[in-house]
Amino acid sequence: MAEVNETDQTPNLGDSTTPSQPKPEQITTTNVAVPIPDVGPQLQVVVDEFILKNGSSDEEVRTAARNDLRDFIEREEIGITTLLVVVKYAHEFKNADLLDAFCERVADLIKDKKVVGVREIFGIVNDFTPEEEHALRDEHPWAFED
Amino acid sequence: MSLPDELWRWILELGVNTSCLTYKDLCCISMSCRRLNRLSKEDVLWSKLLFFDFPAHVSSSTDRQSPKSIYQIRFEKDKVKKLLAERRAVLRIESRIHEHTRKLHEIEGRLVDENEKLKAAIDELKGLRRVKEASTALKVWQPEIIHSRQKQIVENCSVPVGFRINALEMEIKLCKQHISGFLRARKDENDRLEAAKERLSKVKYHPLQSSGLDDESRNSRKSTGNNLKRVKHE
Repeated sequence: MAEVNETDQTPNLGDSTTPSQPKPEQITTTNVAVPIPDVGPQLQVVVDEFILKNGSSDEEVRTAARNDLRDFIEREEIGITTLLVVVKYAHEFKNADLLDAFCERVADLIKDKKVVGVREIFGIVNDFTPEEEHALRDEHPWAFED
Repeated sequence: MSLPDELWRWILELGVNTSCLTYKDLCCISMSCRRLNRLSKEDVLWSKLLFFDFPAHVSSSTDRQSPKSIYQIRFEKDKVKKLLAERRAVLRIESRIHEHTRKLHEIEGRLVDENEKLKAAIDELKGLRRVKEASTALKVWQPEIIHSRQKQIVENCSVPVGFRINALEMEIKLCKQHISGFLRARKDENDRLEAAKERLSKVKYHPLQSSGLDDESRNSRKSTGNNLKRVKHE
């Protein structure tokens, strides 16, 4: 199932948090299948298909693959936890296109949310003191006066 | 939240580059927790937003403020400018609305008058037609009661019947013409009034740009977003 390009690098399986890891945008996309634990088999299939098609030299096939993946994610309303898992593994396996597709979806979920909404989505704990929160609100009224 | 910082950064950058995330989103994110507060303040994000939303801004090397502060300053200046423009536009349109309303009243008044004229003419015409009938009927034999009644009708009329009937028929025609003219004018003026009210509702201040323009530029940025980020680090 693993389709490998001539120019690919061996996937960095072990450490995903080394400081020397290249910035995401400098990674070249490799066509290695990205096995993702803990996601449904359906998503795995779609991801594999995307990787396959994305390796094509035909621009149209690649664009179609990207759109199909995007549509699938939207349609199935893939949850944030799964999205983040895929993001992590796409990054680990240095698949920039896969990474982008899922990162964009995450950004989409953040869009137009209020502060509470953002916390809810990611299960973020509010670690500000009430004074800090107050100060932050005072800092940002310009963004919310309509 | 189990992602490393750089992946969060990438998500935010991607979001800004594709115009998915706006200044508002970044501000909300910055208030959610300390880590996101730090990550959402980064210069690269706000520089991009400045580039998108206030492209006229030329950053000088002496800019010691963070891009986020610069953005806020630009935003607030822009808002003041736009609110003033909105005020002027509102006053302008309101005076037009006042004018259209006044004209409509005038037309309504004329319609009322003309309708009254029409009614009076029709009534008079009815009466004169009765006289004409009566005078025609007098020429044939009738029972005495009817004959004398008809004679009375004819004698009570002091105007030259035939002449007056013609005049009235013409007047009625004219009134109807005037009325349809007024109705048209009223519709036109009303249309103008409604258009002005519509313009008034649209003139309200929107942050950044008018909403229509905003969506357009967002869609065009979405498609070029990929190119932008690839070029960045080459």
